[in-house]
Amino acid sequence: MSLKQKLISIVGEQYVSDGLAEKYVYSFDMTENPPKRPAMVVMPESVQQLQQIVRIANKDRVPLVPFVTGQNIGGLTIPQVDDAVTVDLKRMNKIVEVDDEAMYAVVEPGVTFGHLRKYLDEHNPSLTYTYPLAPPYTSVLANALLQGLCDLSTMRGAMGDFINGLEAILPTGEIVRAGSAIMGDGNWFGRYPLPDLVGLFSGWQGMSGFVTKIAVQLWPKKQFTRHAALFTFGEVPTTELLKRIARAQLIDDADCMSLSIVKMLLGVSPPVQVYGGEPDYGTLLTLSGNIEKEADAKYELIETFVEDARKNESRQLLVDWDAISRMLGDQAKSWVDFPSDAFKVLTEYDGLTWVGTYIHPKHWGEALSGGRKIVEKYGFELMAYLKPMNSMHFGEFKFIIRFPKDDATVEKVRHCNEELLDFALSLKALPYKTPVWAAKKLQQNADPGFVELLKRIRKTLDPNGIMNPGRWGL
Amino acid sequence: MLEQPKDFIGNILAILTSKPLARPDFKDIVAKWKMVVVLETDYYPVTIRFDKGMRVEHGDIPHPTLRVNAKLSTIIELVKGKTSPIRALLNGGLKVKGILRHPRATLRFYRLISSSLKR
Ligand SMILES: Cc1cc2nc3c(=O)[nH]c(=O)nc-3n(C[C@H](O)[C@H](O)[C@H](O)COP(=O)(O)OP(=O)(O)OC[C@H]3O[C@@H](n4cnc5c(N)ncnc54)[C@H](O)[C@@H]3O)c2cc1C
Repeated sequence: MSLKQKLISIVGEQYVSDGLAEKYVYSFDMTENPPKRPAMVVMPESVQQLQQIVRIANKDRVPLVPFVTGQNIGGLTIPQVDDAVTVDLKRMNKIVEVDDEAMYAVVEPGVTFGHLRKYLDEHNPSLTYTYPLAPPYTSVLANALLQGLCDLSTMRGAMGDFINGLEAILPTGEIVRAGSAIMGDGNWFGRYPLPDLVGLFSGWQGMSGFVTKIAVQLWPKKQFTRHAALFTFGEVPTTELLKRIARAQLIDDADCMSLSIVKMLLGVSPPVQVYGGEPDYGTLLTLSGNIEKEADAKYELIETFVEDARKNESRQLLVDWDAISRMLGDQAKSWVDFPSDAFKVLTEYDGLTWVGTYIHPKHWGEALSGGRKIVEKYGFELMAYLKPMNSMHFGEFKFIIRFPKDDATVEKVRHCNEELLDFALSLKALPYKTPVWAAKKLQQNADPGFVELLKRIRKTLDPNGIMNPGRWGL
Repeated sequence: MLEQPKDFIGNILAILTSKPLARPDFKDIVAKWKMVVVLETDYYPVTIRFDKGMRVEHGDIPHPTLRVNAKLSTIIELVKGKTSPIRALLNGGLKVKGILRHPRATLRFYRLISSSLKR
Protein backbone atom coordinates (compact mmCIF):
# COMPACT_ATOMS: atom_id res chain seq x y z
CA MET A 1 0.00 0.00 0.00
CA SER A 2 1.30 3.45 -0.88
CA LEU A 3 1.73 6.09 1.81
CA LYS A 4 -1.23 7.98 0.43
CA GLN A 5 -3.44 4.90 0.63
CA LYS A 6 -2.31 4.25 4.19
CA LEU A 7 -3.17 7.82 5.20
CA ILE A 8 -6.54 7.63 3.43
CA SER A 9 -7.31 4.46 5.37
CA ILE A 10 -6.83 6.46 8.58
CA VAL A 11 -8.54 9.81 7.88
CA GLY A 12 -10.60 9.18 4.75
CA GLU A 13 -10.02 10.29 1.19
CA GLN A 14 -11.31 13.80 1.75
CA TYR A 15 -8.54 14.63 4.17
CA VAL A 16 -5.45 13.55 2.26
CA SER A 17 -4.12 15.39 -0.74
CA ASP A 18 -1.08 15.37 -2.92
CA GLY A 19 -2.69 17.77 -5.38
CA LEU A 20 -0.58 20.58 -6.81
CA ALA A 21 -2.79 23.28 -5.34
CA GLU A 22 -2.57 21.95 -1.80
CA LYS A 23 1.17 21.36 -2.06
CA TYR A 24 1.60 24.93 -3.23
CA VAL A 25 -0.52 26.44 -0.48
CA TYR A 26 1.45 24.65 2.23
CA SER A 27 4.83 25.44 0.66
CA PHE A 28 5.29 29.03 1.84
CA ASP A 29 4.29 31.60 4.38
CA MET A 30 4.33 35.38 4.36
CA THR A 31 8.03 35.60 5.20
CA GLU A 32 11.09 35.74 2.98
CA ASN A 33 12.02 32.16 3.95
CA PRO A 34 12.42 30.02 0.80
CA PRO A 35 9.34 27.95 -0.07
CA LYS A 36 9.36 24.18 -0.37
CA ARG A 37 6.47 21.90 -1.22
CA PRO A 38 5.42 18.99 0.95
CA ALA A 39 4.75 15.68 -0.78
CA MET A 40 1.31 15.46 0.78
CA VAL A 41 -1.05 17.05 3.26
CA VAL A 42 -3.10 15.11 5.79
CA MET A 43 -5.74 16.37 8.21
CA PRO A 44 -6.46 14.08 11.18
CA GLU A 45 -9.45 14.70 13.42
CA SER A 46 -8.50 12.83 16.58
CA VAL A 47 -5.56 11.86 18.76
CA GLN A 48 -6.04 8.24 17.67
CA GLN A 49 -5.84 9.12 13.98
CA LEU A 50 -2.76 11.26 14.58
CA GLN A 51 -1.12 8.48 16.56
CA GLN A 52 -1.63 6.06 13.67
CA ILE A 53 -0.13 8.58 11.24
CA VAL A 54 2.94 9.03 13.46
CA ARG A 55 3.42 5.27 13.80
CA ILE A 56 3.35 4.79 10.04
CA ALA A 57 5.71 7.73 9.49
CA ASN A 58 8.15 6.43 12.07
CA LYS A 59 8.11 2.98 10.51
CA ASP A 60 8.44 4.27 6.94
CA ARG A 61 10.80 7.17 7.86
CA VAL A 62 8.43 9.84 6.55
CA PRO A 63 9.19 13.41 7.67
CA LEU A 64 6.19 15.10 9.31
CA VAL A 65 5.57 18.83 9.65
CA PRO A 66 3.00 19.90 12.27
CA PHE A 67 0.81 22.74 11.00
CA VAL A 68 -2.20 24.61 12.31
CA THR A 69 -2.48 27.89 10.43
CA GLY A 70 1.13 28.60 9.43
CA GLN A 71 0.98 32.18 10.72
CA ASN A 72 4.12 32.00 12.85
CA ILE A 73 6.13 34.58 10.81
CA GLY A 74 9.24 32.42 10.94
CA GLY A 75 8.84 30.00 8.05
CA LEU A 76 8.35 27.35 10.73
CA THR A 77 5.87 25.22 8.81
CA ILE A 78 7.80 25.23 5.55
CA PRO A 79 9.24 21.74 5.01
CA GLN A 80 13.04 21.67 5.12
CA VAL A 81 13.46 18.26 3.50
CA ASP A 82 12.06 16.42 0.48
CA ASP A 83 9.02 14.14 0.71
CA ALA A 84 7.65 15.69 3.91
CA VAL A 85 4.02 15.27 4.86
CA THR A 86 2.37 18.35 6.32
CA VAL A 87 0.01 17.37 9.12
CA ASP A 88 -2.67 20.04 9.36
CA LEU A 89 -4.24 19.88 12.82
CA LYS A 90 -7.12 22.32 12.30
CA ARG A 91 -9.75 19.61 12.65
CA MET A 92 -8.53 18.78 16.14
CA ASN A 93 -10.30 21.78 17.59
CA LYS A 94 -11.95 20.77 20.84
CA ILE A 95 -11.91 22.88 23.96
CA VAL A 96 -11.54 19.87 26.20
CA GLU A 97 -12.05 21.48 29.56
CA VAL A 98 -12.21 24.85 31.29
CA ASP A 99 -11.64 24.79 35.04
CA ASP A 100 -13.10 27.88 36.64
CA GLU A 101 -11.63 27.22 40.06
CA ALA A 102 -8.02 26.44 39.09
CA MET A 103 -8.35 28.85 36.16
CA TYR A 104 -7.09 26.88 33.19
CA ALA A 105 -8.30 25.72 29.78
CA VAL A 106 -7.29 22.49 28.07
CA VAL A 107 -7.39 22.81 24.30
CA GLU A 108 -6.49 20.86 21.19
CA PRO A 109 -4.15 22.28 18.52
CA GLY A 110 -6.88 23.62 16.23
CA VAL A 111 -8.46 25.85 18.90
CA THR A 112 -7.85 29.45 17.94
CA PHE A 113 -7.70 32.65 19.98
CA GLY A 114 -11.04 33.59 18.49
CA HIS A 115 -12.63 30.26 19.55
CA LEU A 116 -11.27 30.49 23.06
CA ARG A 117 -12.32 34.10 23.55
CA LYS A 118 -15.85 33.34 22.35
CA TYR A 119 -16.08 30.24 24.51
CA LEU A 120 -14.93 32.03 27.64
CA ASP A 121 -17.24 34.98 27.04
CA GLU A 122 -20.15 32.56 26.80
CA HIS A 123 -19.29 29.99 29.45
CA ASN A 124 -16.74 31.46 31.85
CA PRO A 125 -17.21 35.21 31.62
CA SER A 126 -15.19 35.94 34.75
CA LEU A 127 -12.06 34.51 33.09
CA THR A 128 -9.86 35.65 30.27
CA TYR A 129 -6.92 34.28 28.31
CA THR A 130 -4.07 36.35 26.99
CA TYR A 131 -4.27 37.48 23.36
CA PRO A 132 -1.53 38.37 20.86
CA LEU A 133 -1.48 40.91 18.07
CA ALA A 134 -1.79 37.87 15.85
CA PRO A 135 -4.90 37.19 13.82
CA PRO A 136 -7.73 35.67 15.91
CA TYR A 137 -7.74 32.57 13.70
CA THR A 138 -4.31 31.35 14.88
CA SER A 139 -3.66 28.49 17.25
CA VAL A 140 -3.58 28.98 21.02
CA LEU A 141 -1.55 25.79 21.44
CA ALA A 142 1.05 26.63 18.78
CA ASN A 143 1.49 30.14 20.13
CA ALA A 144 2.06 28.89 23.66
CA LEU A 145 4.57 26.29 22.41
CA LEU A 146 6.36 29.07 20.51
CA GLN A 147 6.68 31.07 23.74
CA GLY A 148 5.10 34.10 22.12
CA LEU A 149 4.02 37.39 23.61
CA CYS A 150 0.55 38.60 24.33
CA ASP A 151 -1.46 41.21 26.14
CA LEU A 152 -0.55 39.93 29.62
CA SER A 153 3.12 39.39 28.87
CA THR A 154 4.22 42.70 30.35
CA MET A 155 2.97 41.49 33.71
CA ARG A 156 3.35 37.73 33.39
CA GLY A 157 5.92 36.87 30.76
CA ALA A 158 6.11 34.81 27.58
CA MET A 159 3.29 32.43 26.67
CA GLY A 160 5.44 29.41 27.49
CA ASP A 161 5.02 30.44 31.13
CA PHE A 162 1.26 30.07 30.82
CA ILE A 163 1.51 26.32 30.10
CA ASN A 164 0.30 24.12 32.98
CA GLY A 165 0.93 20.85 31.20
CA LEU A 166 0.40 18.96 27.98
CA GLU A 167 -0.29 15.67 26.27
CA ALA A 168 1.86 14.66 23.33
CA ILE A 169 2.44 11.88 20.85
CA LEU A 170 6.13 11.03 20.76
CA PRO A 171 7.79 10.53 17.37
CA THR A 172 7.77 6.83 18.16
CA GLY A 173 4.00 6.86 18.65
CA GLU A 174 3.50 6.70 22.43
CA ILE A 175 1.15 9.14 24.13
CA VAL A 176 2.66 10.92 27.14
CA ARG A 177 1.73 13.68 29.54
CA ALA A 178 3.68 16.35 31.37
CA GLY A 179 2.49 18.37 34.36
CA SER A 180 -0.07 17.68 37.08
CA ALA A 181 -2.45 15.89 34.70
CA ILE A 182 -0.20 12.83 34.99
CA MET A 183 -2.58 12.19 37.89
CA GLY A 184 -5.57 12.14 35.54
CA ASP A 185 -8.05 14.42 33.80
CA GLY A 186 -9.57 17.40 35.56
CA ASN A 187 -6.24 18.03 37.24
CA TRP A 188 -4.24 20.32 34.92
CA PHE A 189 -3.35 22.83 37.63
CA GLY A 190 0.40 23.16 37.09
CA ARG A 191 3.86 21.86 36.22
CA TYR A 192 5.44 21.59 39.63
CA PRO A 193 6.79 19.90 41.71
CA LEU A 194 8.01 17.56 38.98
CA PRO A 195 10.85 17.32 36.49
CA ASP A 196 9.62 19.97 34.05
CA LEU A 197 9.01 17.86 30.95
CA VAL A 198 6.93 20.58 29.28
CA GLY A 199 10.36 21.81 28.20
CA LEU A 200 10.71 18.79 25.93
CA PHE A 201 8.02 20.31 23.70
CA SER A 202 7.92 24.03 24.43
CA GLY A 203 10.15 25.98 22.05
CA TRP A 204 10.92 22.94 19.89
CA GLN A 205 8.96 24.00 16.80
CA GLY A 206 7.40 20.59 16.48
CA MET A 207 10.68 18.65 16.44
CA SER A 208 9.99 16.50 19.46
CA GLY A 209 6.48 15.22 18.88
CA PHE A 210 2.88 16.31 18.35
CA VAL A 211 1.31 18.11 21.27
CA THR A 212 -2.32 17.01 21.25
CA LYS A 213 -3.61 18.88 24.29
CA ILE A 214 -2.28 21.80 26.20
CA ALA A 215 -3.43 23.30 29.48
CA VAL A 216 -3.02 27.07 29.64
CA GLN A 217 -3.59 29.43 32.51
CA LEU A 218 -6.56 31.74 32.48
CA TRP A 219 -6.88 34.88 34.58
CA PRO A 220 -9.72 36.54 36.41
CA LYS A 221 -11.04 39.52 34.50
CA LYS A 222 -10.51 42.68 36.50
CA GLN A 223 -13.58 44.80 37.13
CA PHE A 224 -11.98 47.98 35.88
CA THR A 225 -9.62 48.34 32.97
CA ARG A 226 -8.17 51.63 31.84
CA HIS A 227 -6.14 52.44 28.81
CA ALA A 228 -3.82 55.30 28.12
CA ALA A 229 -1.39 56.25 25.40
CA LEU A 230 2.13 57.39 25.85
CA PHE A 231 3.91 59.35 23.12
CA THR A 232 7.67 59.46 23.50
CA PHE A 233 10.86 60.57 21.85
CA GLY A 234 14.15 58.69 21.73
CA GLU A 235 14.92 55.00 22.06
CA VAL A 236 16.74 55.11 25.38
CA PRO A 237 14.33 57.58 27.07
CA THR A 238 11.38 55.50 25.84
CA THR A 239 12.74 52.20 27.14
CA GLU A 240 13.85 53.79 30.42
CA LEU A 241 10.36 55.12 31.04
CA LEU A 242 8.76 51.80 30.11
CA LYS A 243 11.19 50.00 32.43
CA ARG A 244 10.19 52.21 35.32
CA ILE A 245 6.47 51.73 34.71
CA ALA A 246 6.79 47.96 34.19
CA ARG A 247 8.98 47.39 37.23
CA ALA A 248 6.44 49.14 39.43
CA GLN A 249 3.94 46.50 38.21
CA LEU A 250 1.37 49.13 37.43
CA ILE A 251 0.33 47.82 34.04
CA ASP A 252 -1.04 44.61 32.64
CA ASP A 253 0.40 45.43 29.25
CA ALA A 254 2.46 47.90 27.30
CA ASP A 255 2.34 47.77 23.51
CA CYS A 256 4.99 50.15 22.33
CA MET A 257 5.32 50.77 18.61
CA SER A 258 6.95 53.11 16.15
CA LEU A 259 4.62 55.97 15.48
CA SER A 260 4.39 54.75 11.87
CA ILE A 261 2.36 51.77 13.09
CA VAL A 262 -0.01 54.09 14.95
CA LYS A 263 -0.37 56.07 11.73
CA MET A 264 -1.04 52.85 9.81
CA LEU A 265 -3.82 52.07 12.27
CA LEU A 266 -5.19 55.51 11.51
CA GLY A 267 -5.31 54.56 7.85
CA VAL A 268 -2.29 56.45 6.48
CA SER A 269 -1.49 54.83 3.14
CA PRO A 270 1.86 53.15 2.43
CA PRO A 271 4.68 53.85 2.40
CA VAL A 272 4.26 55.47 5.81
CA GLN A 273 7.01 58.00 6.40
CA VAL A 274 8.44 59.55 9.51
CA TYR A 275 8.18 63.34 9.71
CA GLY A 276 10.54 65.47 11.76
CA GLY A 277 9.07 66.37 15.14
CA GLU A 278 6.68 63.44 15.30
CA PRO A 279 7.04 61.36 18.46
CA ASP A 280 9.11 58.26 17.80
CA TYR A 281 6.86 55.87 19.71
CA GLY A 282 3.25 55.42 20.69
CA THR A 283 2.57 53.04 23.55
CA LEU A 284 -0.77 51.60 24.50
CA LEU A 285 -0.84 51.09 28.27
CA THR A 286 -3.43 48.82 29.85
CA LEU A 287 -3.96 48.91 33.58
CA SER A 288 -6.63 47.38 35.73
CA GLY A 289 -8.05 47.18 39.21
CA ASN A 290 -10.63 45.35 41.25
CA ILE A 291 -12.10 48.69 42.14
CA GLU A 292 -11.98 51.89 40.11
CA LYS A 293 -9.78 53.57 42.68
CA GLU A 294 -7.09 50.92 42.25
CA ALA A 295 -6.89 51.56 38.50
CA ASP A 296 -7.00 55.31 39.05
CA ALA A 297 -4.21 55.16 41.63
CA LYS A 298 -2.03 53.21 39.20
CA TYR A 299 -2.70 55.82 36.54
CA GLU A 300 -1.74 58.62 38.92
CA LEU A 301 1.56 56.94 39.65
CA ILE A 302 2.26 56.57 35.95
CA GLU A 303 1.54 60.27 35.59
CA THR A 304 4.26 61.06 38.13
CA PHE A 305 6.75 58.85 36.24
CA VAL A 306 5.94 60.64 33.00
CA GLU A 307 6.24 64.01 34.73
CA ASP A 308 9.74 62.98 35.85
CA ALA A 309 10.62 61.99 32.29
CA ARG A 310 9.37 65.36 31.04
CA LYS A 311 12.14 67.05 33.01
CA ASN A 312 14.54 65.74 30.37
CA GLU A 313 12.22 65.78 27.37
CA SER A 314 9.20 68.03 27.79
CA ARG A 315 7.38 66.44 24.86
CA GLN A 316 6.95 63.01 26.49
CA LEU A 317 3.20 62.83 26.83
CA LEU A 318 0.69 60.62 28.61
CA VAL A 319 -2.83 60.86 27.23
CA ASP A 320 -5.87 59.27 28.85
CA TRP A 321 -8.21 57.16 26.79
CA ASP A 322 -11.07 59.60 26.72
CA ALA A 323 -8.87 62.05 24.83
CA ILE A 324 -7.38 59.32 22.64
CA SER A 325 -10.83 58.11 21.63
CA ARG A 326 -11.70 61.61 20.49
CA MET A 327 -8.36 62.20 18.80
CA LEU A 328 -8.13 58.86 17.04
CA GLY A 329 -11.82 58.20 16.50
CA ASP A 330 -12.91 54.65 15.66
CA GLN A 331 -9.32 53.49 15.30
CA ALA A 332 -8.80 53.92 19.05
CA LYS A 333 -11.06 50.91 19.51
CA SER A 334 -9.05 48.67 17.25
CA TRP A 335 -5.88 49.62 19.10
CA VAL A 336 -7.21 47.95 22.26
CA ASP A 337 -9.21 45.10 20.77
CA PHE A 338 -7.73 41.66 21.43
CA PRO A 339 -7.40 39.32 19.65
CA SER A 340 -6.64 42.26 17.53
CA ASP A 341 -7.20 43.31 13.97
CA ALA A 342 -3.82 45.04 13.87
CA PHE A 343 -2.83 42.32 11.42
CA LYS A 344 -4.87 44.15 8.81
CA VAL A 345 -2.24 46.87 8.59
CA LEU A 346 0.59 44.34 8.79
CA THR A 347 -0.76 42.42 5.84
CA GLU A 348 -0.85 45.33 3.42
CA TYR A 349 1.38 43.35 1.02
CA ASP A 350 1.86 39.62 0.47
CA GLY A 351 5.09 39.71 2.49
CA LEU A 352 5.48 40.12 6.25
CA THR A 353 8.50 39.38 8.36
CA TRP A 354 10.38 40.42 11.43
CA VAL A 355 13.43 39.82 13.49
CA GLY A 356 12.06 39.62 17.01
CA THR A 357 14.05 38.95 20.13
CA TYR A 358 13.92 38.73 23.89
CA ILE A 359 16.72 40.76 25.42
CA HIS A 360 18.38 41.81 28.68
CA PRO A 361 16.84 45.13 29.85
CA LYS A 362 20.26 46.79 29.90
CA HIS A 363 20.61 46.36 26.11
CA TRP A 364 17.01 47.18 25.22
CA GLY A 365 17.39 50.85 24.29
CA GLU A 366 20.67 50.29 22.45
CA ALA A 367 19.16 47.41 20.48
CA LEU A 368 16.28 49.59 19.46
CA SER A 369 18.34 52.55 18.31
CA GLY A 370 20.85 50.32 16.47
CA GLY A 371 18.05 48.37 14.81
CA ARG A 372 16.35 51.57 13.76
CA LYS A 373 19.48 52.73 11.96
CA ILE A 374 19.67 49.44 10.06
CA VAL A 375 16.01 49.58 8.95
CA GLU A 376 16.44 53.21 7.90
CA LYS A 377 19.54 52.31 5.92
CA TYR A 378 17.54 49.78 3.92
CA GLY A 379 14.71 52.27 3.42
CA PHE A 380 11.90 50.14 4.85
CA GLU A 381 9.04 51.65 6.82
CA LEU A 382 9.99 52.08 10.45
CA MET A 383 7.92 49.51 12.31
CA ALA A 384 9.53 48.70 15.63
CA TYR A 385 7.41 46.99 18.23
CA LEU A 386 8.48 46.45 21.80
CA LYS A 387 7.13 45.18 25.06
CA PRO A 388 8.44 45.07 28.60
CA MET A 389 8.20 41.41 29.60
CA ASN A 390 7.46 39.71 32.91
CA SER A 391 7.48 42.90 35.00
CA MET A 392 10.69 43.95 33.29
CA HIS A 393 12.76 40.85 33.89
CA PHE A 394 13.45 41.14 30.19
CA GLY A 395 12.46 43.16 27.15
CA GLU A 396 11.12 42.28 23.72
CA PHE A 397 11.63 44.10 20.47
CA LYS A 398 11.04 43.38 16.86
CA PHE A 399 11.44 45.22 13.60
CA ILE A 400 8.51 44.43 11.37
CA ILE A 401 8.82 44.67 7.61
CA ARG A 402 5.77 44.49 5.34
CA PHE A 403 6.81 44.09 1.75
CA PRO A 404 5.77 43.06 -1.75
CA LYS A 405 7.29 39.69 -2.57
CA ASP A 406 9.20 40.54 -5.73
CA ASP A 407 12.69 39.04 -6.03
CA ALA A 408 14.62 42.26 -5.46
CA THR A 409 12.64 43.24 -2.36
CA VAL A 410 12.85 39.74 -0.90
CA GLU A 411 16.63 39.85 -1.30
CA LYS A 412 16.79 43.24 0.38
CA VAL A 413 14.61 41.98 3.23
CA ARG A 414 16.97 39.03 3.73
CA HIS A 415 19.99 41.32 4.00
CA CYS A 416 18.22 43.70 6.35
CA ASN A 417 17.01 40.88 8.62
CA GLU A 418 20.47 39.33 8.71
CA GLU A 419 22.00 42.61 9.72
CA LEU A 420 19.33 43.14 12.36
CA LEU A 421 19.92 39.69 13.77
CA ASP A 422 23.71 40.01 13.79
CA PHE A 423 23.35 43.22 15.73
CA ALA A 424 20.85 41.70 18.17
CA LEU A 425 23.06 38.65 18.72
CA SER A 426 26.01 40.92 19.44
CA LEU A 427 23.90 42.20 22.35
CA LYS A 428 23.20 38.60 23.44
CA ALA A 429 19.54 38.83 22.47
CA LEU A 430 17.63 35.62 21.66
CA PRO A 431 15.53 35.49 18.48
CA TYR A 432 11.99 34.08 18.82
CA LYS A 433 9.94 32.05 16.31
CA THR A 434 13.41 31.36 15.06
CA PRO A 435 13.68 30.63 11.32
CA VAL A 436 16.35 28.16 10.23
CA TRP A 437 18.75 30.84 8.98
CA ALA A 438 18.51 32.63 12.31
CA ALA A 439 18.85 29.42 14.30
CA LYS A 440 22.12 28.72 12.50
CA LYS A 441 23.45 32.13 13.47
CA LEU A 442 22.27 31.58 17.04
CA GLN A 443 24.11 28.27 17.18
CA GLN A 444 27.34 29.98 16.11
CA ASN A 445 27.05 32.33 19.06
CA ALA A 446 25.60 30.00 21.69
CA ASP A 447 27.24 27.72 24.22
CA PRO A 448 28.18 24.55 22.25
CA GLY A 449 27.05 22.41 25.17
CA PHE A 450 23.50 23.68 24.65
CA VAL A 451 23.52 22.71 20.99
CA GLU A 452 24.91 19.29 21.80
CA LEU A 453 22.21 18.75 24.41
CA LEU A 454 19.50 19.69 21.90
CA LYS A 455 20.86 17.14 19.45
CA ARG A 456 21.05 14.44 22.09
CA ILE A 457 17.49 15.01 23.31
CA ARG A 458 16.20 15.00 19.79
CA LYS A 459 17.99 11.75 18.98
CA THR A 460 16.54 10.16 22.10
CA LEU A 461 12.97 11.24 21.42
CA ASP A 462 13.06 10.90 17.66
CA PRO A 463 15.61 8.24 16.68
CA ASN A 464 14.48 8.27 13.04
CA GLY A 465 14.42 12.06 12.78
CA ILE A 466 10.88 12.25 11.39
CA MET A 467 9.59 15.31 13.26
CA ASN A 468 9.99 18.58 11.37
CA PRO A 469 13.59 17.74 10.36
CA GLY A 470 15.92 20.66 9.68
CA ARG A 471 14.25 23.03 12.14
CA TRP A 472 16.51 24.86 14.53
CA GLY A 473 19.26 24.15 11.99
CA LEU A 474 19.66 20.68 13.52
CA MET B 1 -13.63 66.70 1.97
CA LEU B 2 -10.25 66.23 3.59
CA GLU B 3 -7.46 64.27 1.95
CA GLN B 4 -5.89 61.96 4.54
CA PRO B 5 -2.80 63.71 5.90
CA LYS B 6 0.43 61.72 6.13
CA ASP B 7 1.61 63.01 9.51
CA PHE B 8 0.44 62.45 13.06
CA ILE B 9 -0.96 65.84 14.05
CA GLY B 10 -2.53 66.22 10.63
CA ASN B 11 -4.39 62.97 11.23
CA ILE B 12 -5.58 64.09 14.63
CA LEU B 13 -6.88 67.32 13.10
CA ALA B 14 -8.52 65.38 10.31
CA ILE B 15 -10.35 63.13 12.77
CA LEU B 16 -11.38 66.01 15.02
CA THR B 17 -12.73 68.08 12.15
CA SER B 18 -14.36 65.14 10.39
CA LYS B 19 -17.56 65.40 12.47
CA PRO B 20 -18.52 69.01 11.66
CA LEU B 21 -17.28 68.58 8.11
CA ALA B 22 -19.60 65.62 7.67
CA ARG B 23 -22.54 68.04 7.94
CA PRO B 24 -23.32 69.03 4.31
CA ASP B 25 -24.31 72.62 5.22
CA PHE B 26 -21.06 73.24 7.10
CA LYS B 27 -19.02 71.45 4.46
CA ASP B 28 -20.42 73.78 1.81
CA ILE B 29 -19.55 76.79 3.94
CA VAL B 30 -15.97 75.62 4.51
CA ALA B 31 -15.58 74.87 0.81
CA LYS B 32 -15.91 78.59 0.17
CA TRP B 33 -13.13 79.60 2.55
CA LYS B 34 -9.79 80.68 1.15
CA MET B 35 -7.14 81.01 3.85
CA VAL B 36 -4.07 79.30 5.27
CA VAL B 37 -3.52 78.56 8.95
CA VAL B 38 -0.23 77.39 10.39
CA LEU B 39 -0.58 75.50 13.63
CA GLU B 40 2.71 75.60 15.52
CA THR B 41 3.08 72.96 18.22
CA ASP B 42 5.94 71.86 20.46
CA TYR B 43 6.16 68.76 18.22
CA TYR B 44 6.15 70.34 14.75
CA PRO B 45 4.10 72.78 12.70
CA VAL B 46 1.35 71.88 10.28
CA THR B 47 -0.15 73.99 7.54
CA ILE B 48 -3.91 73.88 7.10
CA ARG B 49 -5.05 75.12 3.71
CA PHE B 50 -8.66 76.05 3.04
CA ASP B 51 -9.25 76.22 -0.66
CA LYS B 52 -12.28 74.38 -2.01
CA GLY B 53 -11.99 72.17 1.05
CA MET B 54 -9.38 71.59 3.70
CA ARG B 55 -5.89 70.06 3.43
CA VAL B 56 -3.34 69.53 6.20
CA GLU B 57 0.39 69.28 5.47
CA HIS B 58 3.42 68.73 7.63
CA GLY B 59 5.54 71.88 7.95
CA ASP B 60 5.41 75.64 8.06
CA ILE B 61 4.98 78.27 5.36
CA PRO B 62 5.79 81.97 5.50
CA HIS B 63 2.95 84.51 5.74
CA PRO B 64 -0.08 82.37 6.52
CA THR B 65 -3.40 84.08 7.13
CA LEU B 66 -3.27 82.98 10.75
CA ARG B 67 -0.50 81.55 12.86
CA VAL B 68 -1.75 79.57 15.85
CA ASN B 69 0.61 78.36 18.56
CA ALA B 70 -0.25 75.67 21.12
CA LYS B 71 1.50 72.82 22.85
CA LEU B 72 0.13 69.35 22.07
CA SER B 73 -0.74 69.05 25.75
CA THR B 74 -2.94 72.17 25.41
CA ILE B 75 -4.62 70.70 22.36
CA ILE B 76 -5.36 67.60 24.42
CA GLU B 77 -6.79 69.72 27.24
CA LEU B 78 -9.03 71.33 24.63
CA VAL B 79 -10.09 67.95 23.29
CA LYS B 80 -10.90 66.75 26.81
CA GLY B 81 -12.93 69.86 27.49
CA LYS B 82 -10.66 70.80 30.39
CA THR B 83 -10.20 74.21 28.82
CA SER B 84 -11.91 76.14 26.06
CA PRO B 85 -10.29 77.99 23.14
CA ILE B 86 -11.21 81.33 24.73
CA ARG B 87 -9.81 80.37 28.13
CA ALA B 88 -6.64 79.01 26.51
CA LEU B 89 -6.29 82.25 24.56
CA LEU B 90 -6.63 84.28 27.73
CA ASN B 91 -4.12 82.29 29.75
CA GLY B 92 -1.59 82.15 26.91
CA GLY B 93 -1.87 78.42 26.26
CA LEU B 94 -3.11 79.32 22.81
CA LYS B 95 -1.65 82.21 20.83
CA VAL B 96 -2.96 83.50 17.52
CA LYS B 97 -1.15 85.89 15.22
CA GLY B 98 -3.28 87.62 12.57
CA ILE B 99 -6.43 88.16 14.65
CA LEU B 100 -6.47 91.88 14.02
CA ARG B 101 -5.54 91.72 10.39
CA HIS B 102 -7.83 88.82 9.54
CA PRO B 103 -10.78 88.88 11.94
CA ARG B 104 -13.02 86.97 9.51
CA ALA B 105 -10.49 84.17 9.08
CA THR B 106 -10.08 84.06 12.86
CA LEU B 107 -13.81 83.71 13.38
CA ARG B 108 -14.01 81.00 10.73
CA PHE B 109 -11.18 79.01 12.20
CA TYR B 110 -12.64 79.43 15.67
CA ARG B 111 -15.97 78.14 14.39
CA LEU B 112 -14.36 75.07 12.87
CA ILE B 113 -12.31 74.31 15.97
CA SER B 114 -15.06 74.86 18.50
CA SER B 115 -17.51 72.70 16.56
CA SER B 116 -14.79 70.02 16.25
CA LEU B 117 -14.32 70.06 20.01
CA LYS B 118 -18.02 69.73 20.77
CA ARG B 119 -18.94 66.40 22.36
C1 LIG C 1 0.03 39.72 11.82
C2 LIG C 1 0.58 38.78 12.84
C3 LIG C 1 0.83 39.25 14.12
C4 LIG C 1 1.38 38.37 15.08
N1 LIG C 1 1.60 38.85 16.34
C5 LIG C 1 2.03 38.01 17.30
C6 LIG C 1 2.17 38.45 18.64
O1 LIG C 1 1.87 39.59 18.99
N2 LIG C 1 2.63 37.57 19.54
C7 LIG C 1 2.91 36.30 19.22
O2 LIG C 1 3.29 35.54 20.08
N3 LIG C 1 2.79 35.84 17.96
C8 LIG C 1 2.35 36.67 17.01
N4 LIG C 1 2.21 36.21 15.72
C9 LIG C 1 2.65 34.85 15.40
C10 LIG C 1 1.55 33.81 15.38
O3 LIG C 1 0.30 34.28 15.58
C11 LIG C 1 1.73 32.69 16.34
O4 LIG C 1 2.96 32.19 16.29
C12 LIG C 1 0.62 31.71 16.07
O5 LIG C 1 -0.32 31.81 17.09
C13 LIG C 1 1.02 30.31 15.89
O6 LIG C 1 -0.14 29.66 15.46
P1 LIG C 1 -0.25 29.01 14.05
O7 LIG C 1 -1.60 28.44 13.98
O8 LIG C 1 0.07 29.97 13.00
O9 LIG C 1 0.89 27.91 14.16
P2 LIG C 1 1.76 27.29 13.00
O10 LIG C 1 2.47 28.36 12.32
O11 LIG C 1 0.91 26.41 12.16
O12 LIG C 1 2.79 26.44 13.84
C14 LIG C 1 3.79 27.05 14.58
C15 LIG C 1 4.91 26.05 14.96
O13 LIG C 1 4.41 25.12 15.88
C16 LIG C 1 4.55 23.80 15.37
N5 LIG C 1 3.34 23.10 15.81
C17 LIG C 1 2.07 23.39 15.44
N6 LIG C 1 1.23 22.55 16.06
C18 LIG C 1 1.96 21.73 16.82
C19 LIG C 1 1.66 20.65 17.68
N7 LIG C 1 0.40 20.27 17.89
N8 LIG C 1 2.66 20.04 18.31
C20 LIG C 1 3.95 20.42 18.12
N9 LIG C 1 4.30 21.41 17.30
C21 LIG C 1 3.32 22.08 16.67
C22 LIG C 1 4.68 23.96 13.88
O14 LIG C 1 5.39 22.92 13.27
C23 LIG C 1 5.47 25.26 13.82
O15 LIG C 1 6.83 25.00 14.04
C24 LIG C 1 1.66 37.04 14.74
C25 LIG C 1 1.37 36.58 13.45
C26 LIG C 1 0.83 37.44 12.51
C27 LIG C 1 0.52 36.90 11.15
